[in-house]
Amino acid sequence: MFNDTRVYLAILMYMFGGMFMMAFNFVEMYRVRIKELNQARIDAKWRGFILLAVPTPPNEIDTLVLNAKHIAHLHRKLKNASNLLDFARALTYFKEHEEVRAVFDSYMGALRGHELFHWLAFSYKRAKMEERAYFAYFISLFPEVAGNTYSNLMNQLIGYINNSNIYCRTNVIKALCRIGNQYAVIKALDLINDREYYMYGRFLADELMAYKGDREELALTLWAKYGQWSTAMMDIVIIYIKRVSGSFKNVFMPLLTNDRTDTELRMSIIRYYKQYRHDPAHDTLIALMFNEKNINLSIVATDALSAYPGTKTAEALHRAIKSRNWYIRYHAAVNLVDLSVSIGNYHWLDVHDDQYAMDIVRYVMQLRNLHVSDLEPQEERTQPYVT
Amino acid sequence: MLREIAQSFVYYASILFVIYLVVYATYSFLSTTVGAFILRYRDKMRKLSNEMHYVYVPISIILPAYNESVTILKSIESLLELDYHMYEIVVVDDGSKDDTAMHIINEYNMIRYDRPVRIQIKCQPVIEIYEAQLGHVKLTLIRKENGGKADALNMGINACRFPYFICMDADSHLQRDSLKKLIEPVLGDDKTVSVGGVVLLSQCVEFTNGMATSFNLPKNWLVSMQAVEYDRSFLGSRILMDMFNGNLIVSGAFGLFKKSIVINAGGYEAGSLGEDMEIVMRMHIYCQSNNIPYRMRYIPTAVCFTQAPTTVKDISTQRRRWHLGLFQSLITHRRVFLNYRFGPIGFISYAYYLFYELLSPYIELLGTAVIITAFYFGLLNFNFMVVFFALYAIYGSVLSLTIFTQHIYMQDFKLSTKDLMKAMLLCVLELVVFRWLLVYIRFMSLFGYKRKKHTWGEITRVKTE
Repeated sequence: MFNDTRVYLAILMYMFGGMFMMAFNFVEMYRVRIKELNQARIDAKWRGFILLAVPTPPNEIDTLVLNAKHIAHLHRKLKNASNLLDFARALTYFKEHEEVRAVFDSYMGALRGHELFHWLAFSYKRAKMEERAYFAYFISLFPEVAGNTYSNLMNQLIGYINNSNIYCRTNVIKALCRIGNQYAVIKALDLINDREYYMYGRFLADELMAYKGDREELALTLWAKYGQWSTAMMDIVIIYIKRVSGSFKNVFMPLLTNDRTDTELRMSIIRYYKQYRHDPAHDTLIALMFNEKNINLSIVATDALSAYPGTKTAEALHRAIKSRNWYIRYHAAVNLVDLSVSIGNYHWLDVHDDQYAMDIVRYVMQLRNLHVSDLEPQEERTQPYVT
Repeated sequence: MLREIAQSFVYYASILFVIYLVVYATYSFLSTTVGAFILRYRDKMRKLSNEMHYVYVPISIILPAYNESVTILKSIESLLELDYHMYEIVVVDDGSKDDTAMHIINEYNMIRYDRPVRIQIKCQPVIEIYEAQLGHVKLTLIRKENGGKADALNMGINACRFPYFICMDADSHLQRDSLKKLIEPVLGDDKTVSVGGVVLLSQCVEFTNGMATSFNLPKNWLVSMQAVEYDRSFLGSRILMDMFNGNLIVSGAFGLFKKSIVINAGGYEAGSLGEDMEIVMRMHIYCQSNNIPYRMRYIPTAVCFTQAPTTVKDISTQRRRWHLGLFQSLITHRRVFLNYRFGPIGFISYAYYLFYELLSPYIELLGTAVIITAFYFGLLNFNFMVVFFALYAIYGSVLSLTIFTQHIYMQDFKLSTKDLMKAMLLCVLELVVFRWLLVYIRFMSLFGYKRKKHTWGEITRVKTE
């Protein structure tokens, strides 16, 4: 049935594939190894190339003009991502060494808003995803080259977001934030929202923190997108606002009290009120702590009450510590023990009739290096917490 | 008459074996090609800074330990050096008979706490809990009654604080950047419920500042052959299965999981010898049955180092356990097999593990029986057989060497000419010698299953510097 020749042929075919792949691997490894061995020479060459363009001593910032030959060389070389990487390494060298920092400033002054990078942005748009992502990363390292006003370069960067991976999206946002153009940042986020691309909330908020312009103003512009953007995006916006501004206390109140507000948003708002105490929110937070319909809100609200010490909070926490939910019990215990510490008295803790509550309070007290024996029932209970 | 029966038997058996080999050769070729391609792509991405530079997903690392006094401190030490923003370490001492717990308590001045644990997955009871704050890392030691690795992991899940956890072996070491790499899929896709990393052999590398810096194939040939075998058997195959979300194993030595999904799926199966495979299969079933969109990822850039067994006896213990674990998992979740609801998992992944892992020792021995029968009745073309096996061995060796060198290169290790020659030789030896040792071990492992099904077995640990 099995003709010998056919079988040999089939095996040889498979083997040829395997051999080809192995040979390709070895050649590729050899090529990379050679490049690694020559890296110092390549770096020196790029540094020399930059130094050639900058006179000694370097010009004042924004007075250097690069000649056409120099720009043509950059045009030719930088469309290759590997060369762009080497170029970035040379620039970083000048940026990080104080004695040659003036060279960097002068050279960047000459490249600020230069059409070379507009052209490169366009060129990389057609490159592989990882190369596109690297170009955006390069711009985030040297945002000076983009200039400040909204330009074709920024437009191209925003275009990278289409059909992108997480690294490309992140690098684009990173670049735009470091450039500090609000219109470009909002336009990029608009696109991410429209395409429903996933971005890890805190990560994006971190990138927004690197925004070079007026953060408070950016926060206001972002919040204006409420109702237009998805709740996931607005959640990220609230995380960002929480980091930069305490002036949204009144803005968020209607959302906190509205049961129809998305749970994630409400949880972020509760965390906002933990960071920025807002007395009108106090009663709502207590009410949310006992909201049996949504246990996640209750947990976060219990935690947030740490920012609202007082009799009302203490009474509510005494009820909450007997909750069936472990996390509510834990946060209530932490807050109660911390309240006790703040007044220097924890005899008033009334948890003795609930073993689970006792256990969790005992553990929290141990964590705070407090005397657990003081938790034993007192014959006459001391005054409860009074602010 | 007998000769005619034998002739028919050899004829039909050879058809089956040709199909079996063609499928395997194609699968190996595909997995090596895809593996090499992905490794190259990842390497390029890394060089072009396509990486997350800082992350905030808090992670709990669960380290179950049973009689690990030799290696436990070294493991914790490597975990404390991780370059990661927010994580905790939960060591679960599963009723060790040695002084594993005392070593940890004394080394890190741990304090005993009456900490209530929220039991969401059933497990053996707590004996006592110790905690210590070591810089920004909280170390928790839970001493519990013995219940096996799966039970210890369940306790760790109950006690850990963060929404994602990593399960590890107590003799494993992570590189400084391992956590950052492992969490990347979670940052890119909120549907990610598990991420597997690559397990390499710690005997092959030297560490400097928490990073593996040099690679040498050790003098012990058994260990060296395992180094080659790990890449051939696991790496390419898992990268290929990752393409269609079809991995059925996230290595027990290094895997990240979304806690809520694991809890909802019922946690680890206590008593299972292949808890790492069993939980992944259950998570597949849970997510698909509840229409939960999910991704189970495999990341070849996230690396963990583990000690390979150094003697035939230890290899035998380890592989027997793996094979029994595989058997248990496939039997428990047999409804996945060829079930259209599970798509490629039922038709490709399950079928691969069934025919090319679980049944392969029996199929290979059946092949040997066919050859003997054919020889006895004069039906064997001896020359053809020799050439065929020689070519097949060379083919397998080429694939092994391809994936092995690609992997070494991607880790930025320099392979000396001597080691490269040794690797070439090992690729052949692994296929013609080591493979048959494994066939024997796996063949024998199912005998006396009822008696051995709960026996984990002990492997000698060596203290590393």
